[in-house]
Amino acid sequence: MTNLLQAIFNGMLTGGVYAVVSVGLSLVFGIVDVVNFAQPEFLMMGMFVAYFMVLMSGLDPILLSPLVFLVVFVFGAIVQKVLIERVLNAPLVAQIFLTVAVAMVMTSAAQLLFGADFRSSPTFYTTIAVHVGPFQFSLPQILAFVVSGSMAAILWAFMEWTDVGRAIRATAQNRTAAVLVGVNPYRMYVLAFAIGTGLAGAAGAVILPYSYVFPTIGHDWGLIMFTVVVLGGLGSVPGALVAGLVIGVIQSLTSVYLPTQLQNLVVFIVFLLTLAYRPAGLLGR
Amino acid sequence: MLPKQHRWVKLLGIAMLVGLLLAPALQAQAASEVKIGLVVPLTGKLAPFGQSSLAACEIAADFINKAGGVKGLGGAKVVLLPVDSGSDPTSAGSATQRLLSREKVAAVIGCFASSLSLAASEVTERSRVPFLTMSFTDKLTERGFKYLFQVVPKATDIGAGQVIQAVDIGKKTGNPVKRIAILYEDTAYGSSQADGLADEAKKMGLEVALKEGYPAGITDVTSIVQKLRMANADIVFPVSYFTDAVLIIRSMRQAGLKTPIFGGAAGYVIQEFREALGDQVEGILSINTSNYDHYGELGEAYRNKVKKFMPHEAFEHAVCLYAAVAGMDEAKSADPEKLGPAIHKIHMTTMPAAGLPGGGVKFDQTGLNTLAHPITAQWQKGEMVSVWPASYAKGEAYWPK
Amino acid sequence: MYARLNSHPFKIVRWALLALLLILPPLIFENRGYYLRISPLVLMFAGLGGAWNIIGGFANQVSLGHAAFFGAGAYTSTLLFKFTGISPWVGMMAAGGVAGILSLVIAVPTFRLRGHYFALGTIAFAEILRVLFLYFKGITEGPVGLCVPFVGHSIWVFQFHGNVGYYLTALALLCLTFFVAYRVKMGRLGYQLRALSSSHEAAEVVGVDTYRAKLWASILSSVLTGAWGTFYAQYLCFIDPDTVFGFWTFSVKIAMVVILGGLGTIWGPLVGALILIPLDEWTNVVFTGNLAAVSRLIYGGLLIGLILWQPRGLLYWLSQVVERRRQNEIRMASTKMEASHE
Repeated sequence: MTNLLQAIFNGMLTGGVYAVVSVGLSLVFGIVDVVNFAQPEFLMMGMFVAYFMVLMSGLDPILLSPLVFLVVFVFGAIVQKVLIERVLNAPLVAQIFLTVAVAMVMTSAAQLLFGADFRSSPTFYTTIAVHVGPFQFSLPQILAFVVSGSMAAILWAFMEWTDVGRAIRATAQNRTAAVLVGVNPYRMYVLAFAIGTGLAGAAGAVILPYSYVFPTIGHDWGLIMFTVVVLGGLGSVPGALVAGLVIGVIQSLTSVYLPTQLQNLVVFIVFLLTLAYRPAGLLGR
Repeated sequence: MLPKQHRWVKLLGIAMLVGLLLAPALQAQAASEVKIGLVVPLTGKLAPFGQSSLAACEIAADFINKAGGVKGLGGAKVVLLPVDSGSDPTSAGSATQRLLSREKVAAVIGCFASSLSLAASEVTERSRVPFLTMSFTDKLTERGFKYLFQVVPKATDIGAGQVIQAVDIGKKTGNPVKRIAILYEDTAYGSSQADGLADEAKKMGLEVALKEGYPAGITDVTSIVQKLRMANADIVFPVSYFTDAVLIIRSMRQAGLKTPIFGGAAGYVIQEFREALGDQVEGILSINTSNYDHYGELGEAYRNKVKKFMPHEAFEHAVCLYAAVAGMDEAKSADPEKLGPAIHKIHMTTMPAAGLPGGGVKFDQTGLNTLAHPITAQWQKGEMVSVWPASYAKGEAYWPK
Repeated sequence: MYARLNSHPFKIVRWALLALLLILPPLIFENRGYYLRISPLVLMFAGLGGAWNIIGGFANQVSLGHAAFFGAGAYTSTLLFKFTGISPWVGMMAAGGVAGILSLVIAVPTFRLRGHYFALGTIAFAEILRVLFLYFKGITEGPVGLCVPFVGHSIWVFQFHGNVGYYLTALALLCLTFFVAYRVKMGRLGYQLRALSSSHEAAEVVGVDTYRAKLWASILSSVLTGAWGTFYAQYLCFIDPDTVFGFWTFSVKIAMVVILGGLGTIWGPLVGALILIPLDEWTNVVFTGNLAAVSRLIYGGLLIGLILWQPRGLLYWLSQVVERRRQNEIRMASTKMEASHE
């Protein structure tokens, strides 16, 4: 029983991070109507930015995460403005492959700039575990979960209570109506994309204490992100959050009770089943 | 067709013809040189192992040339052609193919990782070019190849060695081994070694409480460590490359798991491992195919140049180079087709080949070096010390607490 | 002039030139040499692109998981050869069959999906196969990969000394692929696919059974892709799940070849392959070691540029250029006619 619960808790911890990374993806699809296949690469970018900031300043990556958010936010805004905007009305294949190409470029640029070696930024708490009764929890993972949760909360508050947030939601609901009330949809797209990618970047900073960073790390995260987003419903922010936790737990249980090599298999099958029978996801729009 | 287009087509055709005619001329090489290809991962997550091997082979080539070059070819200088194999088998195969079709090499050395070596040697065998390696998955020597040479023991023997030697050390230090756990990276290297481990354990009547493979490139080992805890083993045998090795050890420490660790070479025996884990490496044992306290001159030169101790793959690749040269001495030729049979005939017993456990190199008809056997080394005070068998040991093993 | 270009005798010349160009490589390149080594790869990607095009180009169902069929084909023929000794030629047909069946399996969850969802579903499917083939080591040897047993030169078992044999095989398979694509495009199925590619609903309204049309396109596409998988296995002699089921190694590359050359055209994939594969090889030779990532960077940059400038591919752009000049010619000719009447 202990083992079961331990696995569930571990899953929730990683699930929190999945949630935050995927929220950005969901946001972009809901508002800009584009599936950003390069989202995992923005996570990677956030990790590298955090890594170098840590190197230069000696500060903790989690403390640096707001800064990382800003850096990736700006980069995301540029990508949206310069590239994605041009294919908003282009055929589907163009949209898909544009973000695929961006992913390629980001991965190879990282490889050229930083080499393919694995780097890590171990902090003083990297190997500390918190013991609660018979359970232990990795402290860096707890911190990652807490910070991810805060980011999600801030996002929610932003979307609910600020004017800008409401404008973004209005654009997603009905673009024409939003334009009629004076919202500039293109500016909303830039904002949404930038926020979405910024969140992925910040998540990268937050997982740095316990994860390696290397140019192709995005590939491991890619399909998990998409699964979370589809399960939660493309476009639904609370959906992504719930789905993130669910997928984290599923993955964790699978790795403990099934051979490790199959740890993602169940996730992918869940993905296909969701696509087949409930493509709108759990909380889809 | 319009006359303008006609002209362009003609020009293009002429340009192609000229290019084709010139190409062979440009490929003529200096007669007093012999080229040997080195296909190793220079980028990607296996880069540390490839880079070390490159440095070692450069030093070795330097030594050979300074000592008068290849005697059997009248003193021809060895020219090393390093090629990046990438980190996956297909790119290793393509890189080797590219090398063979663009250059006239006498032999190819590579690729560190078993899966890469399998792919690359498929290419060299079909082109009848000798392939010398320190990879050790069993399949390498089981394909009936005539141009494949492996200077170290087979994976299953190494895995078996891990169990035998662990039990032996345990007996000597009063720590009986009854339940074991095996963790392995699920590639050619990891899975064949793990199979050897499990088979030998069963033969010795030990209980295999856990045999868990994990995908290469895994980034989160929390559940593996949880399974390890649930297994309650007397000793754990992890077979990993570098990053997974560090992840596993860190996670074990974090989870408070104090199970003694007996690594499977690769990631557990390189300087980067110690640099990543600091004092946490103390006491960790590992099987190995050779250790740097036996590398003599070559090892010293390496340490001076690279500022790290010479890892086993670097040394063994250098031995491959020496073996190729010995073959050329024997065959008095750099023709790869003649070199193959010649390498089968050599028997090396002097340094640096003597730095291998077993004292030298002699290949049987499958290409395996029959003299070699695995050894155990232990991290003691930041250095790797050979501790088993007694014939190779330079220090005493202790049971890690 | 353009009327003349399309006239019958000139068409024959065009075909003859093409045939000559395609048969040239084995005649002028060294058998074991570098150029004849990559030529079959060019043809293979052209063929893979052509097969993908049937569903991705004609029907606008962007599949990012064609590696599933490719890998399944490669493993089918290789496993058959390894365990039963059945010639890979027969294996190729079995490979196509298996791939076709797989496409039926994937059809169930994905056919109701549109656009992005469909693409995502195909990615997941290829990944599932990759993980399964990695896991069932007893049969597939898992991550170690399978080596095609080395038999020496023997046409009966699809193994050749040197590269000429492979080139000719690839050429034959390419002709088959393009022929199938041509017949689909010009036939009723092509018409149905074109209809549903712009709007499923509209197509249904006019009486197109979109489900069946997509199914047929999917089967044809996957069977051909599976056959090419066999070719790959026999040519490279080594396959492993990470490569043959790989998203970046095959799924993306296959689609890229078509996008570059011309989505929905017959010759587009050949044009795309002729540019991309030699480019890939060249960058791999020039940019080795730490600069290895340059080739991917160039690829990605090229793709971005292409999509922003001409998402329908080079041939489409070329046809636009030709069309525009033709319109100009017609206009000039008609102005001339008017002038001469006055």
